[in-house]
Amino acid sequence: MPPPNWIELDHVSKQYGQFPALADLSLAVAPGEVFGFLGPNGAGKTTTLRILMGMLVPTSGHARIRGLDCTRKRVELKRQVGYLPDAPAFFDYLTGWELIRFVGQMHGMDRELLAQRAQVLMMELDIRDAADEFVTNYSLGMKKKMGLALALLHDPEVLILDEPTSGLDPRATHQVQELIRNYASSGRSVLLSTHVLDMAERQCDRLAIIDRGRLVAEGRPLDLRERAGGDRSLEEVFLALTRRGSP
Amino acid sequence: MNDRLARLNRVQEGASTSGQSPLPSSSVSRPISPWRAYSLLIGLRSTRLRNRLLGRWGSESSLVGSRHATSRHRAADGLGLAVLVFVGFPALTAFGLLQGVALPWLYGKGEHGPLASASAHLVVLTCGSLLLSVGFSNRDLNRLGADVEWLLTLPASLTSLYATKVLQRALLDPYSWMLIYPPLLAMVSRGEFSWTGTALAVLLSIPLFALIALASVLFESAARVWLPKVLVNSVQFFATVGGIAVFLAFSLRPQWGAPLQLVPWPAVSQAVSLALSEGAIRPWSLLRYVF
Repeated sequence: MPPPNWIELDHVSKQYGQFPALADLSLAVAPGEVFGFLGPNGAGKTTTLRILMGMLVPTSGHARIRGLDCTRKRVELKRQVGYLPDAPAFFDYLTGWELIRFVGQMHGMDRELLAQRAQVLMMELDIRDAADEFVTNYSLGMKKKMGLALALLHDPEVLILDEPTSGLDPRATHQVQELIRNYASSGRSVLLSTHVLDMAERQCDRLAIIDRGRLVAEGRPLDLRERAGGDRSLEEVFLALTRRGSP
Repeated sequence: MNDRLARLNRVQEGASTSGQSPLPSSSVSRPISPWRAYSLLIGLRSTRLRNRLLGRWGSESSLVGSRHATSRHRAADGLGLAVLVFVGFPALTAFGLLQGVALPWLYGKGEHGPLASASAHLVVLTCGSLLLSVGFSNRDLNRLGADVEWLLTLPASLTSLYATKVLQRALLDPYSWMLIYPPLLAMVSRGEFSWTGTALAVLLSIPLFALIALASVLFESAARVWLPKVLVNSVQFFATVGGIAVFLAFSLRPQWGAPLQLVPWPAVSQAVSLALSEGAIRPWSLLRYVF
């Protein structure tokens, strides 16, 4: 029986030497939920996402996705998760098609299905015409789109996106947002970190705000605003909660 | 936009006539065997190398009318590598490196006998090659590379990811091939060319290259995790300078390596092999601390 929450962080801490990147962070994301992860630069968002992807080992606590321990079950975990890094860095000297085919094969996808999904994703993300180019020649926006296509290729149950719309033009931003919404509406979970508060408010069912590795607020966007007085925008709430100098 | 939608519709129509949804909702990921993962990772690195050497002509072009990568400077990279290899060999010979390393072995020179002399030279060359590998092979260790993040998002074990990286480095490291293989070849063939000697030299080179590759990968990974960014750049700089200095000194003043001949290298290598076999040193286990 699958766990009620597909993404779980249980009192997770991460220490880099003397620097506490994360301190006792606990979160849960349910199936079909789009969960926004907000925080100022250096707050620990990317560290959290990397712990969930099994790239970093937490100093203490546990991270699980669909019941799989993120540190111990790395390989099984990655079959169920699609991940888009903040600044996707692929192997240079590979074309878009070569990358897509490799990722599909690593996921054990049938050749026909792989070609079919790749075509649709590349068209939806408007990168079909660049498929024969080396990805090293792509712009940041195109790399982001390619990263998203690769993350979605194996039809994962959970999608983890680090700044999915940074570097994208307004049209591409709209495409990506639409894609995320459609994806979540089919019952899958999305965890995304972003600095675009407007997008977070519109896209996400729930939000968490972290600052200096600590969770400072969590809830539905409307609830967060109401807790802060009701008439304040999410931006004002964010600024108040992450004010420098506050304990 | 209309054009894009029309194309998307065409694909979707095509898919529906074949009785399949364009984006099937069931999970399509199936586990693959570790050997399949190894072969795919090796294939990916081979494709990358082929593309690097051949530019756009090497990459597979399945679409007609699409734009190609900027081919000229890509092809120029491959050309640069070829020039390095073909000009590098004569340059090394001219510097006297081959004579410096191979001749003491061939003619039994050296204060402590030919074996000690050859072993000492090989150890120094290996260290120099390792320094160059760390200094040159990765342009900037601080820059987040595909090896660090993207490959780790794939359903493959850390061992397979690192093993293929080490294998690639071992087989394709130009510094090792240019600086260690020729003296080894000269030693093994004892000055006379033979295909058997060439094959034997290759066989002897590969483990040495693998050792260099493993050491450099471990060093790079550890440096990324434990050293401050500024220090990583400095370490790379000093590794490059040190590697070049070792080879220049060895080429021009091979007698400087004489003190190293005092070290009983066969006994040292025996002790290291024993330690490795008993698990006292397990380089792979260090990878656990990398992430």
